[in-house]
Amino acid sequence: MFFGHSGMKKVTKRDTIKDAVFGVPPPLSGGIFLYGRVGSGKTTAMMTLAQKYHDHPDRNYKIFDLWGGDRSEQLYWLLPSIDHTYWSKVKKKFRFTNDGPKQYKVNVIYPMSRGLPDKLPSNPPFVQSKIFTIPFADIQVEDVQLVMGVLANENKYLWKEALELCKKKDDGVVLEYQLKKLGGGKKGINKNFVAPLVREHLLQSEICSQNLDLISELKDKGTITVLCLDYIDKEYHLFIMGYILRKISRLINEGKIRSKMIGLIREAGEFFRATDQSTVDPKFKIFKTFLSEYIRLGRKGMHLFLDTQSPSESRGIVDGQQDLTIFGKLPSEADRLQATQQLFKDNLIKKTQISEMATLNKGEYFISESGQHVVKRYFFLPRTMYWREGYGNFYTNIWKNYCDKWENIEHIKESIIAANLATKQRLDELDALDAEIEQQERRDKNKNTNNDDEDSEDKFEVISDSEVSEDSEDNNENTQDNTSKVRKRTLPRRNNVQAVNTNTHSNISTNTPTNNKSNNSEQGGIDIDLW
Amino acid sequence: MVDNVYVEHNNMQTITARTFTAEEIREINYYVKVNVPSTMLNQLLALTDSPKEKAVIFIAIYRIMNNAKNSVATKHTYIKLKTLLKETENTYYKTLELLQKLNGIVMGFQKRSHEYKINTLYLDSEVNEKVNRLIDIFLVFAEKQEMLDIDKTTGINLDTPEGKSVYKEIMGDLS
Repeated sequence: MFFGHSGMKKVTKRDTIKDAVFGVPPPLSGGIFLYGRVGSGKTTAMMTLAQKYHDHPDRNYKIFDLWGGDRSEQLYWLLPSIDHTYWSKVKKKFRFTNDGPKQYKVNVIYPMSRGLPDKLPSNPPFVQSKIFTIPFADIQVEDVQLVMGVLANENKYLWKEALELCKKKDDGVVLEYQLKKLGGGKKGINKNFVAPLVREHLLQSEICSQNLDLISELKDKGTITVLCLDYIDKEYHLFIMGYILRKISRLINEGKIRSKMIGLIREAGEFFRATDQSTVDPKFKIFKTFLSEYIRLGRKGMHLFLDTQSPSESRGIVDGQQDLTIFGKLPSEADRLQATQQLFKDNLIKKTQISEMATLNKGEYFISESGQHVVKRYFFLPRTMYWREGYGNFYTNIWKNYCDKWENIEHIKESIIAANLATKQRLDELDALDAEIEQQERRDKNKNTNNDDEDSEDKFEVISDSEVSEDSEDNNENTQDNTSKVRKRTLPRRNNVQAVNTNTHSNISTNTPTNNKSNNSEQGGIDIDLW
Repeated sequence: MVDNVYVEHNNMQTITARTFTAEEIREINYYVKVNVPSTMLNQLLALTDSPKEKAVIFIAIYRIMNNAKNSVATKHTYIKLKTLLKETENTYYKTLELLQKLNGIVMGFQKRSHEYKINTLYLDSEVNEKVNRLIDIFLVFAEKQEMLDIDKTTGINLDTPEGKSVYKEIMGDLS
């Protein structure tokens, strides 16, 4: 109240440190692409960026780490950074209020498989490992295509029919059983998809307690969810990722999830390299199509961060959709041209900046924000650990050395396997019963047929007897010979039957106790052996 | 524990910025940041020895600190702030009265007289020292307010000279 009369001038204080740093990039409506050659630090930059979108109170995005590449880089979320010298320097220099290294709350989710070890990393309350199964009723044809490529109509039909026949409480074993019943036992859908995944115990009923609960996982925004596909066959990686992405997209579309989510996919070039002309597995082409669609649907709340080595790998699929494009070191002139062609035309990047891309240091990037001029930035290191050369296996070299806390999951695995075995046993019993009933029906049917045969035979015999009797009038002594002559007419059938009958006689007598007409062993043998 | 702190601060000759822990400074900063507009804060940070200007700054700072005292979470911080403000309580009331009169005068009547009284008050070295100390402590608080939140900071802006220089410093130190 006194300032108006004091005659004081407004003094503005400039903070050089504040001018030196940059905050969190803008709210997302699409995805983020990071380009850079091997070793340019794009995956660490991706981690840093994702952490900022998660930590910033105005952003608060849920992080779902979907793919860590062959090096399982997603697992490094589990441990705080060990770059203490770096962070103490940075904290001091930038006057940060809080510490750099941070222990995030992480849920690591593993798809159920026989290869899962008995112990998984666990560090309550921060790190929790969970096994998940997939309710097969939730699986769509497009998910199956991520294993088998384009599905033939017959396989589509079999899949849909088998699903129709299964009930809510039926597990994967029943699905496989139904497929076999439908005659799909030797079809691709069973051999390449259902049977192997049932063997891994991944496909379960809708009421299985271990089913992936994406709603609660996504609602828990404070927790990082990490998908770990280390213990399941590579063949099914795309299927699991695709299934999760599709489910998330559906949940968002249905309004069941309102929170914003970021999905991290490292080494995305692996999926985008699948052009229509190339000879890669068709499932990669399908996954690429899905990814492009999900990137386009980003504004609904699911945003994908993808890193790839060359801009040419993502050509034509995401242009104009990305909120941010981040360029690391790109030594190849073709890559630089490919990446910056449009930006240069739009006068958003300078020639010097394009040239400088060839010599960027680790952690330095050019950032192109949608519609903004390209700027040069340095990303701080992630607040968690990140992959470094020489680390090797995460579980044995990193987790064991830095934390070494494990959770025994043997009992969960065993309970899932036991439930499936019980179903299998039940179905085997059912099969045996079916076979018995079928056999019985055949026997009855056969019995009827035999009765008919006997009638006709009797008739034949009667006729032949009459013939014989006529002959016997001439020569009664030759009666037996004549009868045998008549019988010779039926030899082709009777001889065959008798030949088999000698071997199976004992079985027949025990197996057909109810056959009243099998008074002689010959007739009993016919009953069975004809079948 | 609280009694000990109280006794400790009662026996203490002077309270300086170092008396407050980093946590306490952060807490007071937060209060200041929320309640004082940044434009006003810059004016409060002006260092001056002109008695009239100093009186204006002192009144504002005393009031902010007094309010902060009632908002802090722990008894320890409350006692420290209370002890600090107690030193300048008399000066505050005297200055407030004089400034009120100065602002309330019509057509400059007795203006010089009031200005003279303010000058005289701040010419007393003991009063001046206590007021200076309060302003200095607030200065530390305000300076600390410029601390950065790591959650909101992603990296260094390499397009600015400041960013380039800081980047070189950090990377140089690390290498």
